[in-house]
This record gives sequence, structure tokens and C-alpha cells, in this order.
Amino acid sequence: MAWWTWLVVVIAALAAVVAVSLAVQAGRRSGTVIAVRRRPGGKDLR
Amino acid sequence: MNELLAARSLTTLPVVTLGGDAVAQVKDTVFDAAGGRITGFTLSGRGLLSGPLKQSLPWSAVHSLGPYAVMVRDALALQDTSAVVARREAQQGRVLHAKVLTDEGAEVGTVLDVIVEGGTSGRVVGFRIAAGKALVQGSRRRRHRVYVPRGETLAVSGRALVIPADATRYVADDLSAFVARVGAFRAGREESA
Repeated sequence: MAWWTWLVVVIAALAAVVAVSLAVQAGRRSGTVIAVRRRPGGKDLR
Repeated sequence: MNELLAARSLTTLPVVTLGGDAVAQVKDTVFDAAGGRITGFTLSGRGLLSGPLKQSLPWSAVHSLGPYAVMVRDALALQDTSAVVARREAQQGRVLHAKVLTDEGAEVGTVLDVIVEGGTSGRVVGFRIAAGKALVQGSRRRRHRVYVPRGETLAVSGRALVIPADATRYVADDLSAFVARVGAFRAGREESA
């Protein structure tokens, strides 16, 4: 294969790695709403 | 009443000190199911590549909650994550997409969002739910998303939101009608007290 074919393959692989990393990071940062139960004294119920 | 905010919209809000520094952003909103108040927030970093922080923000350290930022006095307001929610609680207490059940055991929808009061209140005033036909009559589009005042619910946990079987009397189709319902509900409670 020509040298530029390898260049395209490497760039595509790097782009894929970056995209997956950003997606994973976005998932770790995504939030939700959590209900907890507290005792009147402030301690949570386990 | 302070401005009403959807808890899901609080995710990614910046946590800003009164000095103007953005020190973190909101990840999870944590509330006390029995007391009906926000107890705090878990946090993530501000950068594009930053993940969840090991620090959290207890409600007692919040100066004010607004639609664009959570204001704190200074960066010392941030505490260890366990001060707001334990790891197991965080996994078991997820309210979004929990089933909505009636006290007669029928499943009538799922929880879409939690409606909270901003400012210094932090009160949970109701829930936005995807309602089934059993709960709300009418066209499919109109019955899909309705609001239920928290005072009318019987219990909430990570598994289910329990409402009375005759809930069709008080669900509201939109936020403005919901505000009126909450106001009427509070007025009724104050009169009976």
C-alpha cells in the first residue's frame, strides 16, 4: 500500500480513539437524580 | 414561590463562588425522599476531559440555586462525596425512569424528572411523569407528560413513585397549571393546620 494509505489509517484510528474517549468521559460526567432516606438526626438509612 | 427548576436541567450547571470562580459543575442532584428537600449535589470537573470529582456539595453550603448556576460562598463549601450520598445509595436511589405505581398496585407510568424550587429553598415540589392511559385520559400527546405535586405522592424511591389511585384529580398538563396546583395544595394545608 502507498504511504498515504497508512497515514489515513493512522489518522482514522486516532480519531476513533479520541471519539470513544470523549464519549466515555461524557458518560462519566452525565448526571441523574438520586433519592435518599435520612434519619431525623441527619444520618442516612442503610 | 421561587422559580421552579427541573432537576435534570441542573446537571452541568456551574458551581460558582461569590468571588466569581467556577470551581466545579453539578453531576447528580440528591434529595431526601421523606423530607422533600435537596440534600446536595455530586460534582464533576469543569474541563472537557475532567471526570467526576471526589468532592460533593451539601445543600447547607449552597448560597442560592438559580437556572444558570449554583452559588456557593467559597471553594471551602465542597466536601467529601460521602457527605452527600454513599456509593450504594447512588446506585439504588436513581429516581429517573422509576415506575409510577398507584396505592392499588397498578403501574401507570415512569418518572421523567423531579421539579425543585430554586433560590435558598431547595424544596422538591413535584414530579414530571410519563403517564399511561390509565392515569390520564385524552389524546396520546396530551396524556404523555404530566406533573404531580409532591404533596399528593405517597412515597418515592429508586424503585417506584407511589401515588393515590385517584390521582387523575390533580395531575397538571403543564408547568403553569402545576404551579397553581402546588399553590392551592399549600394553601389547603395551611388552612387545615
